[in-house]
Amino acid sequence: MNNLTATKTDFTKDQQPHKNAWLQPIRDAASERLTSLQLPTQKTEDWKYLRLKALLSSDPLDTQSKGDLDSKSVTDINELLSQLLISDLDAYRLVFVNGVFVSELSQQESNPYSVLFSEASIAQQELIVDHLDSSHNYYHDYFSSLNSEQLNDGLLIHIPEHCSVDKPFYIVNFSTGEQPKTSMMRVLIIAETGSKATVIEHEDAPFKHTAMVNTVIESFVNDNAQLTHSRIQLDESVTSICNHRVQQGRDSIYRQHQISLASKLKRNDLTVSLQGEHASTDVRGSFYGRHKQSIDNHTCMEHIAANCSSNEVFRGLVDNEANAIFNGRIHIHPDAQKTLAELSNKNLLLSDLATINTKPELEIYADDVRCTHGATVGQIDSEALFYLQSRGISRVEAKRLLSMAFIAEIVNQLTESSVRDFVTQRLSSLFTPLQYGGEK
Amino acid sequence: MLKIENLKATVDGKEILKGLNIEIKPGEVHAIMGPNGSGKSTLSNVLAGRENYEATDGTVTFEGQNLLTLAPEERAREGIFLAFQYPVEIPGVSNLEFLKTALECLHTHQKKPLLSAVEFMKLAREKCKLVDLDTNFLKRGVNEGFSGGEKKRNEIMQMLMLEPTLCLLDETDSGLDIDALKVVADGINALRSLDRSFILITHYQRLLDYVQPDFVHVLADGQIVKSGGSELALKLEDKGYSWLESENKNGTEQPANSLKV
Repeated sequence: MNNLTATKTDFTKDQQPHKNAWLQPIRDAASERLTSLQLPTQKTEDWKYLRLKALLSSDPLDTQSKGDLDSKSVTDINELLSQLLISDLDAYRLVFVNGVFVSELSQQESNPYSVLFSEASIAQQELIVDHLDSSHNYYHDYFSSLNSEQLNDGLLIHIPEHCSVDKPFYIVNFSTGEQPKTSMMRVLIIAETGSKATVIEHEDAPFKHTAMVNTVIESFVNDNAQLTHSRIQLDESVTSICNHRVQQGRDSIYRQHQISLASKLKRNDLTVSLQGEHASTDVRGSFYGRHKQSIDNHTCMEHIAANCSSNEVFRGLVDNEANAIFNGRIHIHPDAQKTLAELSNKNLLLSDLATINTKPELEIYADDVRCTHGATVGQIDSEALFYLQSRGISRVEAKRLLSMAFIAEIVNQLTESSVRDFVTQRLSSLFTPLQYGGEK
Repeated sequence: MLKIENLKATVDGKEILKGLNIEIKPGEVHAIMGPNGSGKSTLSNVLAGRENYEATDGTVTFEGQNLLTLAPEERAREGIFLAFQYPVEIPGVSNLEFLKTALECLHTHQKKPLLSAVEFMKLAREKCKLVDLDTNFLKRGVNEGFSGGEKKRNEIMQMLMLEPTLCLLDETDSGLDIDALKVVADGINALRSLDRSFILITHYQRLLDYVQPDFVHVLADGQIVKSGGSELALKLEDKGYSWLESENKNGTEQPANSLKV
């Protein structure tokens, strides 16, 4: 069954009866935290540049798209949704709608690695309770605590020791419905010692619905393990808040690629804790905001152990009246000697009314480290634009080519070519379609 | 094909072209020579529609249309091609993607069927060969890390791909060694036809040894001060521009700089 008809709820209110009693300690702890937490406001330092009003507005669907959906059967809807998947990706496919698993759309044959919390064995339940909410979160905990407080189900991906998973996990979450209806998405990834896996997360809003999604992802990358996590956030119509935490052991490698479209409000908080020596982190992100959208990426590299390295590159495209925020924090703890940390954020403003607030933040308590950081804001090169136009390419098309070139460095990092093509095509289609002759 | 009458143009508010007249008929090759700062590049940029190059007076008619009201991409689609004096590097956009997009825009405008991927690749490889560029260039960013000579050959390669009706070559020969110059000249000659015209902007006779012009014009201080056949270029090569000043004092107020090669 799909979750399309789920009741309309306020994002702070828990409406469903709790399932899975063994998760109760997690929920209780979150309730406890929430008693001292409040919804972030413009006065909360890490939230001050984001247009928070969008969070509390209700945004009903127009009657037509509502009617369209009501008239369809679940089978029809599943058929529609299946067309939006990256079909030529050979992967363990796990499809969710509003945070609820849809087996009809998933492809799970011979996947021994993942399980829903609700179907977890006793041993898996113990694993989940041990790990859930145990990772360090630098950021404001309000939304992630809400997610935990209302936790009924989730996805566990558990890679056993020294296991290299043969194909990627492809996790899809489709959001439907109207704000303030909020769905909770919860993912827990545990890569045991020496294991190796790739996770591709695809967030989308197939019917351009205005729903809201509150996501929490926790990844534990243990000693010598390697995890590659690609996130493609294409849910442009959805209000989305995501708290993502990664914890790394000795000699582990964590890579993250993130391609995000902005929305009415999109917030990504990433905390990576490098807790074992010689761990390395590579985070590459790009975001594209247009119209009056907002996107806010906050990242924090917690260098706790010595001899680790982190490299972070974010590229932003901001068009029309969109508002983008990037805040990259590097925190080097006293014991983290010989750390190598690099951070770069480059942005292209495509219109005079677009805004970007970018801020690197370094906090260093060790004396033998190398840190570099840089942020730039620029505009489309008018020489390049004229060069393309002089070959018959329209201004809009030239702008598309130059914008895509600007983020190509990030998009090309996506390890699966089918994902790369899918993303490129999706992004390209957002620039005004090709018009010949008439357009000025 | 192209008729320029009394064209005056300013660059960032400064008047550079001061009443220029020239007419180019189909199939003709015109060379425009002249000292530094006489307005040669301004003319090519005004014709291609570059921002900040503003025509303030006069008319430019291209195949019956008022060229000056068209956007740069519209001029290109009508068949005007400018080979840049300083081709622009565009990292991240591959030559292949660039050429394909340009050709698609052009063919759509001309209501021609679009080439298939295979046909396009075949054509691109063929043209690369003509200008002696390795086909690996197609995969690289537009002009990214190209040497001066490679950039100029890439301009000719694009010209061969797009098959314009009026080719403006802005000092395409400058900075080229003799082999590259021959390659560029061969590219131009390969395109010469009864319905295609060329304006070659150059400082030197060298290119004209390989591409025989029908007319040679001397531009000085924003006006054409002398026109003639190909023999004029030889005379300039021999005597420099100062010779013209003594002969042709009526047109220009400022003496043109002397330039002898």
